[in-house]
Amino acid sequence: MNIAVILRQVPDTEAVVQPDAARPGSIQEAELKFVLNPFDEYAVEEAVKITEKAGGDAVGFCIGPDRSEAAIRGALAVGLRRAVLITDAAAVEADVVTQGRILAAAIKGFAPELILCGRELIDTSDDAMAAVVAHFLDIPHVLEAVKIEVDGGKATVTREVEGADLEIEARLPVAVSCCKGLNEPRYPKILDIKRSRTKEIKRLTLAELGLESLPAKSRVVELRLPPARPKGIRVDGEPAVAAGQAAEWLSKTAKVV
Amino acid sequence: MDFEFSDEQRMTIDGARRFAAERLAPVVAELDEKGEVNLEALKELGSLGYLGMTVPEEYGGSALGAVAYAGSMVELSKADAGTAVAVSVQNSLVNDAIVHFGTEKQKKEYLPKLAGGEWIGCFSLTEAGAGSDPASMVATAVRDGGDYVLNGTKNFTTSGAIADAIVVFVRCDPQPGGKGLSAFLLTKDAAGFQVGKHENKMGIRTSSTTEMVFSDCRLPAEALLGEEGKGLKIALSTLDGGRIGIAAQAIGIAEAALDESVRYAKEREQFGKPIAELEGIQFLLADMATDVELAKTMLFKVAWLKDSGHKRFTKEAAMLKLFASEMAHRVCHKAVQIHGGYGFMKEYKVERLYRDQRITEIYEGTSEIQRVVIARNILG
Repeated sequence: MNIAVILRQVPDTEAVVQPDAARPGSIQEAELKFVLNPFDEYAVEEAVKITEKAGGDAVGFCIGPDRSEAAIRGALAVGLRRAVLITDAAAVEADVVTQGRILAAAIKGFAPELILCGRELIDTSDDAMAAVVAHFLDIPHVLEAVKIEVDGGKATVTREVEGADLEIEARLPVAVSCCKGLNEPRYPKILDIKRSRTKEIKRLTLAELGLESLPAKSRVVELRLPPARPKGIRVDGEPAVAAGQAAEWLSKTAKVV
Repeated sequence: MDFEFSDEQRMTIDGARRFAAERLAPVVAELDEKGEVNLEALKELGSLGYLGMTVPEEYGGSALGAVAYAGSMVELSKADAGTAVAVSVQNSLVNDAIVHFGTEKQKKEYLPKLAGGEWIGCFSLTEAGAGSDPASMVATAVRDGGDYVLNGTKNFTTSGAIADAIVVFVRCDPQPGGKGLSAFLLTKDAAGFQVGKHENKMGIRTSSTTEMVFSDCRLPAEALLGEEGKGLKIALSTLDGGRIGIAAQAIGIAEAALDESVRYAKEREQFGKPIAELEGIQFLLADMATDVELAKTMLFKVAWLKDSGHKRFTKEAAMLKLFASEMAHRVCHKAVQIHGGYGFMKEYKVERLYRDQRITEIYEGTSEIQRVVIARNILG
């Protein structure tokens, strides 16, 4: 079974991001550490697990600048066979719908039976990619999987909804976004890290995909940090007195009661 | 000059960090209290390649070199210095001794199992009366026909209770001095060998430390590691590499103490504000961070010297081990001070870090021996 895994490199979860004044809508990248989008790790692990059992190739598809290679190498080290990287600025800077269209075009020739991605990008919080790619390939999609079973030309996907598990059946091919809880991403073996260097990361251009002039569906006009949270106040002393002081502060200073 | 890790080194060190956070950190406090080894995690590290980082691939190693090894050791030590010392012993002392001095047969028999974590190894040099002065050891190997018969008790052997493979140093020549020492390589099932007393330690309590008792332990001549009479040379040259591992361990402990202190200083309020706003605390933190950074820079320099192969690095390894271990002492001392009374309590991580740090100034060459080595090198 062939599986396409959509990958994205994002700033490390602990990174402190700052808007880049020189490039509106972008962040300062110079001192930033980048990693594979954490939710993508579940997609990679699932793809590797399934192909280990059922055979076939698990191949990564990524839109991003050159530095994305580092994240792709990590996915290759834990078992993806090869990867495709699209670095055209027009693709990297595009909105999620346009990127989904580009990825769909890149994935189409590979003809996978399963397309997996993380449930959400932790930097932009976009969570629509599986649905968008499915739309452009005219295939079904299921979001937020915690369990995937593939058998007899169909996938049975479990997703958690408020207070219950929902089991959804879809014919293959299907695009599925992956949640925490789906599996335990393995640790890379050092030898596999070394061997990942010999695995192919193929560069694909928008021209090769016949998608040179794609009008943007939307664009980010500004990126700004939320206003700093004001410092709280602390009321000490005997409860009877302190409660009075707190009430006074709430009514006179904060004016919320 | 290039201070960047290669992709492979970075991915390997990141892997160690994630493993440490997920597999070591959650259980270390409990295992420290009980004095138990995390053998499952140690073996898993082996299956990932972290126990064979300087073993050539043809012998089952991951062969990524000393820089990646040093960086991984720092990450493992930040979470669990006891498990980390077993990793250091296996890589630096056991594997390296076999890689450099073993016969082809010994390499093929031992290295794949050690590098893959199927076997745990130990390095048995110290005796009750022979610590800093290994040449004064009294355990013997007597030639008997084609065999050697070993007798005596070694002590303070790291990973003694869990070891499958043992590198042991004994005296073949009854004349006193270093010339009569030889190294042997054996497995734990050798008749006449048994694990002796288990030590109850102040720190690194998630590592095993035991006596190793040899009573008429008969080994074939092919169990000799290197040439007869060259044991002291093997021990000393192997310990050069060991110092990278122990320095990395000390740096990991210190970095963990620094991280804990920064977090605590921001949270803890006294005099109506976080103590991180007090200059007295800021100066402590600044000195700690500077200490850790300098030691780390020297760590990767010495690891690079080792990876570059042709250069001698005895003096630099001694300087590194001396500085890193005493640095960790200073940093852990300040970390407990910043935590105040809470730093003295077992609920806080710095209490364990303070205990774990202490041995790094002692084993694999005390600070005093490192100074002797450095002085000899600069005086010629």
